[in-house]
Amino acid sequence: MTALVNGGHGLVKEVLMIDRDLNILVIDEDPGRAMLLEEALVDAGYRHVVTIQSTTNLHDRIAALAPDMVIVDLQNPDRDTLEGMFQVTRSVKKPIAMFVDQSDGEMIKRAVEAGVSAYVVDGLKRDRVQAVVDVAVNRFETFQKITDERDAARTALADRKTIDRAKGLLMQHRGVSEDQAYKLMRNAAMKQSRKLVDIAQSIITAMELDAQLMGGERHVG
Amino acid sequence: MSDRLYRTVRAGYMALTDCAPLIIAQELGFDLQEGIRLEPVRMNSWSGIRDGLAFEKLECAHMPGALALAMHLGLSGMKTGIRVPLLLGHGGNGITVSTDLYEEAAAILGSAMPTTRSESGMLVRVVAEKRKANKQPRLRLGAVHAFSSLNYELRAWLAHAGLDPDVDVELIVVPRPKMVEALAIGEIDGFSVGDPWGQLAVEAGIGRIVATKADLYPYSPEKVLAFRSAWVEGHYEIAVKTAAVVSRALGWAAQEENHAELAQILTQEEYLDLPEEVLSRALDCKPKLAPDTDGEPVARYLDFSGDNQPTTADAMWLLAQMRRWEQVKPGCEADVAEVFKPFEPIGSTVAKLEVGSKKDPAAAAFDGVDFTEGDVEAYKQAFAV
Repeated sequence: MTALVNGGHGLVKEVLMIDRDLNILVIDEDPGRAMLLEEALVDAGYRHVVTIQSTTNLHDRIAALAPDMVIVDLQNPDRDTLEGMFQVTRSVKKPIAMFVDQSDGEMIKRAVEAGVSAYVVDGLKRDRVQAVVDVAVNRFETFQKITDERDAARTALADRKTIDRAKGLLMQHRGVSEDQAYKLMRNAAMKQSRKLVDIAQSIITAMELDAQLMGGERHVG
Repeated sequence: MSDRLYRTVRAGYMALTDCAPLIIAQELGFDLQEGIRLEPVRMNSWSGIRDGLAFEKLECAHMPGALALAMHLGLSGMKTGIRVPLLLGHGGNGITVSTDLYEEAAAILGSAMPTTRSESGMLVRVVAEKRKANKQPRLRLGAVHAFSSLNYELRAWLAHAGLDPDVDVELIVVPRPKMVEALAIGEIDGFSVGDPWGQLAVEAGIGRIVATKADLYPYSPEKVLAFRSAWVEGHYEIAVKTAAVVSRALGWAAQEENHAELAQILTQEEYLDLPEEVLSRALDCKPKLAPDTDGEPVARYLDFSGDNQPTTADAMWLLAQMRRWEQVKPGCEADVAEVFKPFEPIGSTVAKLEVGSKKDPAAAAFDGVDFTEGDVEAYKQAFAV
């Protein structure tokens, strides 16, 4: 915010006062993401940030909190309630406008891509809105990245376990060394243009089936 | 043909019984037979569906006809050109009141209890009057989105009983999955919602469906298949095929002998994830209206049959509702005249459009207000409230 740097002392104080007093409500069903966003907003100097998860009586809670701005994830089922608060009833003192109504296509597009939607009190200045939305978009993107990485790490770990198990089974039942077992699977994967983990899974399934049949025969015999 | 050669068309929907045609078109493979791949995408809010369509996350969607017009006019979310080539059936809505409100009204009205469902707004009126006399808070009723027939039906039903919906009661928006809970804890005293959510309140023993859309405006438009017109322009053939396979699915869903299979498909976790018997009753037009009763025949409760080709009269009817409740300024007739229009068929489309009888959207309207001229302003003037 260049105004803070270049403006006179009085102006700086005024701008800071206003923004620190902005009432921001975060509604998110994901507590992890909500916490990340709340922390970031507090770090950015916003003092009045309230986070709620999906709740009953949402209408009354929002009316009581009278936020200047609501940040909510795009897929949240409560969005219709938020929109209804300014379209159906006039019971909320501060009329809320949809951020998406504003004309800045690029900013909105980035927000939508990140899964952020925002509702703001009518008349709130655009740059003040943008500052909060930027924080939200950044945090949503960070959260998505963390989630993706965690999922990828989990998949990698699960794959590793599957491959190790198949290797163990081959060593046990076919009497090959660890290296040979691995090479057998690798060759099969390359020949069939399949992933190593898929080959490993097939081996495990086949061995399990084998064991079941053997067990069945023994039982019959 | 390899899978990836099929053009994928993402279709947003909400978990309501009337999303059935989209699900069926994909589940029964009507889409693949036409060389497209329809991908139903379950969404959590009408706002989400609207934004998904506007911001190119969806190519088409199941949505209230009024929301399609509101998007087109820039009244809701980003202004987005919309084309509606198909209606997704008729009916499917109902107004439910809490059993507490029902019993309180019955005690006041005694032998004067309304005998037809279209007059049941009287139940709300007598309790609202009692509350007012006792200086108690107003009754609160839930609807799901401002730009929906559900909202207009609730308002018209209240107005018909002599209530001003913006003054005598409080209308709030509650998301569908929370409606039953909101009714149970007394956050709201009733709601207007798409099937099966009213039936679920009845099943829970906390609500009674006192009026259905079929009792109010049986021939008026309901959900539609809405496309982003910019996408249609660039992908006309795929758009036409999409509408054609959904139309074919409507015809399939209209057949009574298919209802059991349809309910089985819809009940799956990935789609509605709601009890099969409740869905079956809706499809058979025998909804359960009150606790401790069986399903009751309600003609056109949910109707996929008939002519689902949209007309300008349908759009004008919806615009008239939007005007009646002051959601739109006068003079938008020309802007929406081209929105509700079937696609021009093209030679390579296999599926036939299902065509049946088409009535005026205001036919058999419970308030008796005529709309044969399609005059939006005259319609608005016909009502005191």
